Amino acid sequence: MMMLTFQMQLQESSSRLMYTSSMIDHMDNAASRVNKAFSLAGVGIPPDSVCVYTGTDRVVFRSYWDSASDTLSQTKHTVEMKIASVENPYGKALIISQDGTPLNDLGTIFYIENMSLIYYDKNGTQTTQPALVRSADVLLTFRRDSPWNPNRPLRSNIQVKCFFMNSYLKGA
Amino acid sequence: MGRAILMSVLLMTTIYATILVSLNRHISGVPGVLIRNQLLKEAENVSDFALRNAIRNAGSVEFLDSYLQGENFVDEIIFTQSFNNFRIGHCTIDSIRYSYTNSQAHYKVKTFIRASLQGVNVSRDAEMAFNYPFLTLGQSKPNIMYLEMERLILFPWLFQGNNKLPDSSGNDYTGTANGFSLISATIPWGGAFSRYCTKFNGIDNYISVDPHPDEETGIDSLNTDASFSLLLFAKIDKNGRQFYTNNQGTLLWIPSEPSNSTLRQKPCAAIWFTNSDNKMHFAVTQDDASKTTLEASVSHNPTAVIFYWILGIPIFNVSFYEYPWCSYGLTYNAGVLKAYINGVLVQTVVGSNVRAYPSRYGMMIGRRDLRGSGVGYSDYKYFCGVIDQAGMHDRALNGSEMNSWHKGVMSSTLIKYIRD
Repeated sequence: MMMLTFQMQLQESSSRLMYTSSMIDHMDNAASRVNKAFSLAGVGIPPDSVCVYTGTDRVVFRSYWDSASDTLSQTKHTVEMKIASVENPYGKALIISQDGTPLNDLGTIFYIENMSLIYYDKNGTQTTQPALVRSADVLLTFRRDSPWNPNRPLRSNIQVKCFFMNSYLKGA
Repeated sequence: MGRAILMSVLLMTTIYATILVSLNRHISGVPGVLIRNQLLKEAENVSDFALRNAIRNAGSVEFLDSYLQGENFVDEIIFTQSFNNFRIGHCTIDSIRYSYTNSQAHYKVKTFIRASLQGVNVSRDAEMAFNYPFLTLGQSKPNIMYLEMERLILFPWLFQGNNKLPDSSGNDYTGTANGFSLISATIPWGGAFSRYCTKFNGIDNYISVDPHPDEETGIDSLNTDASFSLLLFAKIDKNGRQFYTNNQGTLLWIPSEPSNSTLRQKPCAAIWFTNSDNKMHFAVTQDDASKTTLEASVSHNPTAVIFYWILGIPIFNVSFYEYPWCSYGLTYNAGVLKAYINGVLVQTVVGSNVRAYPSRYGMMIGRRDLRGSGVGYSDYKYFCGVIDQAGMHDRALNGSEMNSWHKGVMSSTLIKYIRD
């Protein structure tokens, strides 16, 4: 009995540990990737022309930075971030695409159920006008099936404040 | 006996509990992800420090002088400052790369950091640029017509309308790509550039630009009047079309009277190359009584191989980007024709102070505009090579402007950015 209990405790502890650490790692990577996408928006673009679309669940901006090769390019690119349906078992994913093509470097981030965006101007005042946007609060809701009960998914939220660093560099 | 079993159970329970606590402390207490996070934060701080110092160094005259050591500044300088075990905390600054273009005021720096702790390794690079060259978009104002050829044209012979090259000037002189191209008429410049250019196989490829007559005058739609400029970039195939090498090649042609057997070889303005004597020709026909053609003829030796030929069939050389681009320009002002190659004045021809013959038939890029009877295939002088940035200004650009245009296309405008 004691051996069985011990085994079960170990299994429980391991699965919790696995889930927690992998989820933290995944959330951390996702937040870093989203932040990087925002920070490279607007390279070579006048600050008031960076954003093309600023929705609550989708954002589109321009940049001369080529996110696919991670280098400065001489072509203007359009970067879009949105939640899109993907094939099972993931259901939904955050897609970061450049000129319509998802990026290879974490261009598709799984286990994300929802993204909510709130935009701010250079004074930190909330705005909805694309020309004024200089930063955004990105709220990501991660969803993953529980290792103990697949019918009860676990959700974790993370909030990241992302800045258009290159717009600020130009004086915003 | 019972007491012994009880003691044994207590002992084993204690051992199991100790193992579990130990597991929790060692495994779940400090998982790798937390170590990685800690390292990333540390690397970010060190990277900021390194980047700030690098930017300060790059902007300092003394710093660059210490590298140049009395040598003159050349067009581009790139050097890497390496460090030997430059450690800050768990981070190591490996190197900083400095890049300068054109002058000390135009630079960027890139830092390379790595960090290591308990078997977890992370690396981080960051870069920042100030006034760094960035290619211009080909906009040149005021102008009449400017084809950047940035559009990818796939199967132009297959899809109607998929052969249009928009005019960047906004004057709507759309270019139309003609002739058969197996895959794409336009291709990227390659190398460090992301521009597109157009292929001309020397057989049947050309771009036509239809005239837009002025509503008031009815003529002068491409304004070859008393003052104008023509310009374009090209890589001229040094051999030209196989079996027709002497046909090479018309770069740009604004006809005077294409159906008139006397005037059709006297263009309002044109730039062409002849293989037989390896010369570039820049010509303007004046609107005087005898329709005098001013012509500048300059030796020019193309080195590019744009097409390989197999029994007369052109095979595009995918390594064409290795050959240098050349720009060709022509200005006409009050009877003075000036020819430019690569932004440098190469010849001046002075005629009488009259306007150029007025244009009414648009422009051809890649062949001559000859019409009517008595015109043979070889008369068209199809161009073999690649062409880009073809345009016309409504005034004569001066030498400095020509040079700036050439450099502007080949180098860039200035940009500052940060990636951190």
